[in-house]
Amino acid sequence: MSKNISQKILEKIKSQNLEPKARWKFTLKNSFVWFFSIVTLIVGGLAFSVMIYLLKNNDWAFHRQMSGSIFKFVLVTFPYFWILCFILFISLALYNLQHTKKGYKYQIITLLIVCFVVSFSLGLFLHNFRAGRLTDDILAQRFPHYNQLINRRVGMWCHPEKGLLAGQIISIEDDQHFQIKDFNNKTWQIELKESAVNEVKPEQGQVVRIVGEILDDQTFQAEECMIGSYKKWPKENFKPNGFMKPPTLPDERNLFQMRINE
Amino acid sequence: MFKIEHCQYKTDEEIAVLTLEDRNFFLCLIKRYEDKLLRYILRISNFSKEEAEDNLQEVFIKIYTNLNDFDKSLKFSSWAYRIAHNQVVSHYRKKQSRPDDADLEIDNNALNQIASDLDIGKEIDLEYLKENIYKILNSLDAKYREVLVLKFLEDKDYKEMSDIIKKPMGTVATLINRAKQKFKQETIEQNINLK
Repeated sequence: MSKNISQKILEKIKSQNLEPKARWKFTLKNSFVWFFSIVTLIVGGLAFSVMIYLLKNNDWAFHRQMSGSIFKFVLVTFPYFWILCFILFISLALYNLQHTKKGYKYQIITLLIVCFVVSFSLGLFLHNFRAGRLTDDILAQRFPHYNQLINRRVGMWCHPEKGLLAGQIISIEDDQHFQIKDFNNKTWQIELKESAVNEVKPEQGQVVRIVGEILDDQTFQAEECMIGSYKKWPKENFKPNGFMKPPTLPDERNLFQMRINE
Repeated sequence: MFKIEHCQYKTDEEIAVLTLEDRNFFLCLIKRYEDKLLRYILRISNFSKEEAEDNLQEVFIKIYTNLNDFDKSLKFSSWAYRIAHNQVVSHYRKKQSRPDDADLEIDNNALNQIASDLDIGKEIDLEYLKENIYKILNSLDAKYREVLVLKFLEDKDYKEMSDIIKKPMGTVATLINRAKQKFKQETIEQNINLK
């Protein structure tokens, strides 16, 4: 038996001209596994940084006006998508790390803790550099359904009938009166209540969120006003119900006008 | 002309490096491992001897073609056993029962160790255990059978077992403990009289 097997193996190696696979192929394969481990950890960290950003800027102070109760508010505004993303990429990172050359030596729980700690730390680091906010803004601008389905809180500010209004300041009369254009391109005259006057200093171009009530068709009285958190809101894309419009291209007449102006 | 004596005093790891330069050295590795690996394949699988030999050939071809992937922090034997393990796992479900032609010897030292580790040393009839051990092993889950084979029949330590089955050492220890319990339980269920 012994002689036969060794002979058969050597004959097979010779007849099929088999050679050991090149070392670089294995190095490349191992590098890919490490590369994907690192990428998935980074994306997991990024998802975590968006979660921090969304939770931190969740307009907790206005939960009553926005949803009626804290429970409903949390239910509607909780960043489920990003939590799922985080779990997904942590799982992928875990899978990849397990498949590195020495990954099998470690218990799953150890690798899982490593993945969590690295992603948490990376998430905090990225959050400090506003990566979470940037990601949220970019997604909101690029993907029409992002704010409708994922970051639903943004759409909640487009309900003046419920006392919630947001938009960009287009002109200022005095500390108590200014005009904004909301995300449906409607112009509103804002009257700040006395109690809110000292809290804000409106400047042209700023995006504001206002809690108050409609006085008439064009006037909104602000009881509370916040400035500055949504500088990069996708201004063009809101419908009155808070849902987003599909992105639109300039029509032919506008394009023609733009060419004349050039 | 290459002679097997060329690698008489060399370690497996050294021969593996030499094989990359001259494939004739691979004969030394084959000679050193063909019996061990064939026995191991037969012990952990349900292959007939013929099938086991076919698989053994594949194992050696894989060892040869993947020589550059050999991690020098491992023992060569662990790496070779791992390849054999993977080969068996990928072909395991083809056969359901062990054919009779598999002639598997177990030495008395291994049997004594099993008896002592299972705390049945004084009561066991070694001849009886020798005759029935594969029957009992075959009735266990593959994962339990494999660790018992590696520990008691192949005489591997935890580190080697961890490298062969690619599981952390803690998991290997847990598997062994469970496997021992299952083995003991199985001997009772199969009504094997240990007295």
